[in-house]
Amino acid sequence: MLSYILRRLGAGVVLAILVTLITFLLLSTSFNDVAQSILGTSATPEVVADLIAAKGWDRPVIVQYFDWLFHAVQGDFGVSVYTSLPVGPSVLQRLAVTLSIIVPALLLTVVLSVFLGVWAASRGGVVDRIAQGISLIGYIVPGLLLAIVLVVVFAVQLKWLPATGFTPFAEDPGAWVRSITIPVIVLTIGGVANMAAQVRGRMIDELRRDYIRTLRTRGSSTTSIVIKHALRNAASPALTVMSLEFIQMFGGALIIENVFALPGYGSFAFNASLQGDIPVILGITAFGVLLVTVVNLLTDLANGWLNPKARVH
Amino acid sequence: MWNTRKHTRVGRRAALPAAMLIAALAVSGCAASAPETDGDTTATVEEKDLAVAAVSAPNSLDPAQIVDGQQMFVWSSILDTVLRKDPETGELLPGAAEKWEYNEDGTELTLTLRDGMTFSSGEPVDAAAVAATLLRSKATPGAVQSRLAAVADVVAKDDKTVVISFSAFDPQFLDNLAQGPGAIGDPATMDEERTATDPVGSGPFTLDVEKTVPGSSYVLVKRDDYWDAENVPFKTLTVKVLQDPTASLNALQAGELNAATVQSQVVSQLDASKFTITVNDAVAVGYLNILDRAGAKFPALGDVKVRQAINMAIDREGVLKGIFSGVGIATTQLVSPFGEVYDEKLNDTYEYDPEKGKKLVEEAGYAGETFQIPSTFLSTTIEPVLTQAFADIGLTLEWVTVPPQQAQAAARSGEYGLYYQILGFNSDSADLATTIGAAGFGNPTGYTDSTLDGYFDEINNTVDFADALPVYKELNEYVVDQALVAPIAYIGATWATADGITYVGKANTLSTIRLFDVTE
Repeated sequence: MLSYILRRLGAGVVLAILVTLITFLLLSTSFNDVAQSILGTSATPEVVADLIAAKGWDRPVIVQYFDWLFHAVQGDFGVSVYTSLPVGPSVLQRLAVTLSIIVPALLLTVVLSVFLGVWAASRGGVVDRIAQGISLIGYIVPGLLLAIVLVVVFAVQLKWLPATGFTPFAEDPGAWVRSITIPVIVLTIGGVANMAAQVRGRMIDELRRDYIRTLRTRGSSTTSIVIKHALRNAASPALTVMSLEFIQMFGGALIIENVFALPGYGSFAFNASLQGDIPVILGITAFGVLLVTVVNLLTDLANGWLNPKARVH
Repeated sequence: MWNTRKHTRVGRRAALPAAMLIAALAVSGCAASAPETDGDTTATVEEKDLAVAAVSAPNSLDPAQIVDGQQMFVWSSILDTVLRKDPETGELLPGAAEKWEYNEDGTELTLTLRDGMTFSSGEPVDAAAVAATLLRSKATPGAVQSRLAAVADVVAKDDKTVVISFSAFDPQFLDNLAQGPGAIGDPATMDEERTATDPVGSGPFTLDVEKTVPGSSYVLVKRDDYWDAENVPFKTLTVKVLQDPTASLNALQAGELNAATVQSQVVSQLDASKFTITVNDAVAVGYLNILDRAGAKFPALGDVKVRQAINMAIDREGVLKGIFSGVGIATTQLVSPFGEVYDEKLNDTYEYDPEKGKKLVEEAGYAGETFQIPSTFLSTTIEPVLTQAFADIGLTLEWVTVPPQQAQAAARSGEYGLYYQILGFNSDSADLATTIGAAGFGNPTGYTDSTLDGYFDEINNTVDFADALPVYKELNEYVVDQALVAPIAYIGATWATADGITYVGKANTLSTIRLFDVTE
């Protein structure tokens, strides 16, 4: 198992290297623009050239990349060309904000999706249609619109929650909860719309299987059949959906972070891309790939725990 | 006028004419004195908390790295500048320097600093600090460096006197001293790591690091020992970085902000009893820049008839109404309508007349020409209008999508003859030099002619702005007549303020807290 985990992490590192290399090659055409942007529009080409030389951007691209990589593997991701702040701590700081929205949203998504999916699959009829209706509404209503409506109602009208901003947990746990409430609700509703339908479908498949019929004939209780047997088997594909949902929420966080002015990973990546802040973009890319790798690995491990047939030795 | 008045009715009346007189003296190159504050104060205005929205976070608070624009809300509250600008008139006012005087040929500028200024560390702001900051900013690659290019040396003659020598007279230098290049840092701490995020400055506020979330929200606390503390009507300043206009509107309505720009379409959503709406009709100019004025790559653009035809093809009033929601002013000029160079009569030069434009294009023999033009995030809304305008006079525009980080490079690449730009006002001299001057960023081909050379030669050798003003006016008229650019509209901004805060900016678009005042 340990070698499997190491192999998967190793593959993630190789993937991160490949993705950052491609990213670096694509960005390398913008060195001149970035230098001009740092120096302002009135800087002369000579001054721009001086800065390019000072930054080492006139070296062969591959040399620059391996220089970056050499430092990155030692934990030094360089500094932002605009703020001069170290990239590694900046990315982690932003990541913490985004995770503090995504993790609660994901947990809520799982709980609500499993509840809705199991409820709909095991009860059927009107209950099933209600559960499907709830999922459908989550699909139909755009997250952005939902966010704006919730802000207008709960922040602007009722003033129960803040309309913008983020308070770190360490600073004030109560204010932290209030600052993430609407973003978490928005992400959760979108997540439940995706995941509840998957859980419902898998549960219906499981409940139609022969072993369930056998269990029923042996007099096992419905709760036991649904929870102990069917859900355990249905959980495996649902976990895969959950990992995809986590990654999708990272993308969705960009919009949420903009609407709520949250200093998260998405807005950080967006602004760095607009400015062409090469070290920041590389750092974000590397962290992003590693994060996705770790999430996929954890999903596989959880799958293996739930389903012995899926275990890898 | 926040920066020149006491918070009294008497003081306010007395200070305004004084400031205007000082400003007039200042821009004419004469020595100026700081306004005398009125001693018999009554009815002091209660200090308020100001929470304002900005579209961008400060990249750095290091004097050598700071950027103007709305980033200035934060850094100019921590770092004093050598000079200031009147928010209503745009005229230069004393800042850290209470007097300034050029020598005869403009190659030496003597600044006299005011007494009693201190950094937040308690150290005095002296001539050595100003000299050290200017020299460091000149030597450090950053956004302010190129604006100090003409500076040859900076010497602290004594504690209060700074002498700046230049390789040649720089007509924009005094204006620059009211912006990034004029920011003063504490030489004792300026090279420390904290300077980028929490610098020691001499400004009216200090950063509350505990409450600040970099990139998102900046909280600043007023310094009671600030030399001009009595004219700072705010206890705290919060700058929230909000790129999304909907977020700004929500934050305003939720009471998290009491000053923000809003889109004119949503003004009606704000409770009129709680918000004061102030429209500034001109904070920038939107124009179609003709990059290839000599016609080197696009011969049609080298023909004045074609350039004039382009100016006639644009329905400026229609653009103003349809695209800018009526906030702004249609124009054929580049310079600010609040400046002294602006000439109202010139706005009649190119009436909307596509038929006449089409004839001019045909006379010039360029009917059917096609121009590729960069499509950037600034141009997307106006592209259909410009495409139609060109079609109306027998020309074709082809928009080529350019990513934001390559937008500047596209303008300089020589590939394109045209470029849609929005130029935020700086000063008349800077705005004309940037777009029309041979070395200007907005003139990447370096186009000039003998007439332009003559105007700029005179401007660059006339230290007294009042003496140079007639030349600036002639230059402006020549630019319009030759249609070297196709200005479309002055772009305005709509400010919503609450809680007894008022927006007093008009001619000066520098984003400092001096744009705001409080009401009794």
